[in-house]
Amino acid sequence: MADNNASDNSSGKGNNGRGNAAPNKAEAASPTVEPTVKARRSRFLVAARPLPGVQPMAVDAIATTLNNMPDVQIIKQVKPSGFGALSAGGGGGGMPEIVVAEMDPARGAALRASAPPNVIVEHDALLRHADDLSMAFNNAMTMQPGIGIDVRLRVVGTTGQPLPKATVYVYGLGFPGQGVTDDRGEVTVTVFGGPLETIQAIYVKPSANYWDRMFERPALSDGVNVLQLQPFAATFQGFPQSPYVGWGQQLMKLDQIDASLTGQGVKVAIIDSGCDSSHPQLTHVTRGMDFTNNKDAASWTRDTMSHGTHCAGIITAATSGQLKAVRGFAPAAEVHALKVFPGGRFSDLIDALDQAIARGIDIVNMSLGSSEQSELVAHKLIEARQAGVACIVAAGNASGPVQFPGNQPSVLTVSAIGKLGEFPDDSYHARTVVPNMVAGAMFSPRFTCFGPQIAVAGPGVAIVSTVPGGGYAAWDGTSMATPHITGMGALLLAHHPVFRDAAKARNEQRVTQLYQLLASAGVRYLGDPTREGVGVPDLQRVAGLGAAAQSGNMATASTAPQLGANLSFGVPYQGSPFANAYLQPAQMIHPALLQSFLQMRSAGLV
Amino acid sequence: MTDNSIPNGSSDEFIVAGRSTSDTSHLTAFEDALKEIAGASIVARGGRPDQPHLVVNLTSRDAEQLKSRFGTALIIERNAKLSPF
Repeated sequence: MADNNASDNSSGKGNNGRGNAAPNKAEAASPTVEPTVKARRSRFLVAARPLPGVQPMAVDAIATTLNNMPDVQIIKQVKPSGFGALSAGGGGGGMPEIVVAEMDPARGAALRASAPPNVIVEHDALLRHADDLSMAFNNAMTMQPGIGIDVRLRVVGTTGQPLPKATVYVYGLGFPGQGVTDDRGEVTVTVFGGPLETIQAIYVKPSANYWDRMFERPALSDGVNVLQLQPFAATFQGFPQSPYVGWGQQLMKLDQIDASLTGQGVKVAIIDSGCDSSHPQLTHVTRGMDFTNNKDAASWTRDTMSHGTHCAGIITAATSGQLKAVRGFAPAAEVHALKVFPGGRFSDLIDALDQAIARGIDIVNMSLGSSEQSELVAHKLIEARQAGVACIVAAGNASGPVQFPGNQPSVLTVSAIGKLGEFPDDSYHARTVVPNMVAGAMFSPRFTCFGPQIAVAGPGVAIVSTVPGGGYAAWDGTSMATPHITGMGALLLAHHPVFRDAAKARNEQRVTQLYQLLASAGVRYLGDPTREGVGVPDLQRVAGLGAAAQSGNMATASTAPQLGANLSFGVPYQGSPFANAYLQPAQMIHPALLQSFLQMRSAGLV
Repeated sequence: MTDNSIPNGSSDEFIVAGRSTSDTSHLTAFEDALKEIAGASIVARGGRPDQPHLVVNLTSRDAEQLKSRFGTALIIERNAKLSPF
């Protein structure tokens, strides 16, 4: 995994059409940056492999070859003795001499892959105490006080400015350690189970406005170790002041519909963790109820989990003065935040659904669920549908069968889909990619639940949206996929001719029509209906919605990529199994051709 | 994630509502039965006036016994925690 450092402040993202932004003024103010943590070098064992009829490679030849590699350091040579006589068929030659060399893990992997048959290259793995192997909750090693290791860390931006409130997870041989950075961007995390060299990874989740980052096999010192993160502004030009349309909204063609389609007149409920309506892009969210606080009419604005605020941004974020960072699907919809988290149970969901029915809500976003079933909730969902309330439900993130209530026939269930090239390759988002579930640029993320109940898929990896405090964060989940569909549903209910006049009445028929309309607009990317249903709904495939080639207030090619643009983070996925899997030119429509098609379509010629 | 199953001895939340929304007499009878059970308690009364439900604290064993007694008229199920996805 490539390491970002100060001399490469765009993290190799300079040629992606969105990553060519100059660092903003605050970032550019400080010219010097402390060295950041890099990947730890690994030890490899290199030796001749005895093969019948093949001359074994001499250890001197191996050592010479390694010595000629400037990035490889020979640590020692080991002469095993005695094993040859004991091994079956062991000849007089015994075990070959072994060269122990230190190198970058990627170099080691390449060496191993290119080694001739008569040469062994293998990782000199760290040995673990036998007790470690059986460690479990009921058989945990007892750690003496004082034997934990304090890992001192400082999280900074590209020019070294401290990033407070970042959550840091340190993974060693024992239980992971966790901490939150202070105002200086510093945190000390104590981990147990071995020395610094046993730290397997450090994951940093910023509070807002930066990409998260996974540092694998970090080379740590006893002092303060600096971990550097990339701001969204380095990827998205002018973020958050310049207009920006998320990749998911682009995939669903939100940026290509008429700007007058804003969802006005539709009531949307978000059953979640509340909504921070002090966020500049969410000030129009003024209605809600807190089911975690005796149905309080005010405390729904306190979103301690950020989850509801993130979903709200996808559905309804509106331009506010200079802030145009997120384009919600339905910025003029009447949004009701029905708070059930933290601590929500089935009874809270029943109360929230009752409230949605009572308030005459048109469409409900439910980015939630349970591994248990509830007959009472199932009945309430049927009642909601009969009352004309469309419930859009997340499938779940358990990588297994669709969870409750997404497995109910009365709702529209949404799985998540991801797109390569939309996140840094050292972010956690990249961990959601499963190589054999990649189709062109799109992929089915490892977490998404699947099954015959999946109706449609929504963009659900590296989704940038609003979080409490006025910032933005990129999150993954079917929770993020679902509000894309809810938002599009709100647009259809507000503006599609099939829902005008008498058909506007809230009833079960209207819900069914909405589900059919969303499904009819699906574009399949993966070829597996259990993971994507009918695909991702595309606004331009909905006849009669009044599509335009470009909307007035949306991003143009200078700030956001068009379909077919070559999106990348410089050298994405180098050395990974899907290195060549993203945006194969042969699979894409040429942008000019697409533009012509859209113009012809606008003119009614096709 | 949701709670795991709990041992019979410790209590958990259950939600109780009538299978027929118009008939609340069974819910009243359930409340009376609850008074006979040591450690059982009503956590909250919820639902619409025409669809009331109770949230109660019970052990799993007591819940099973009450289900066998009221199961034809009432739905008694664990009030499981929800997770944001």
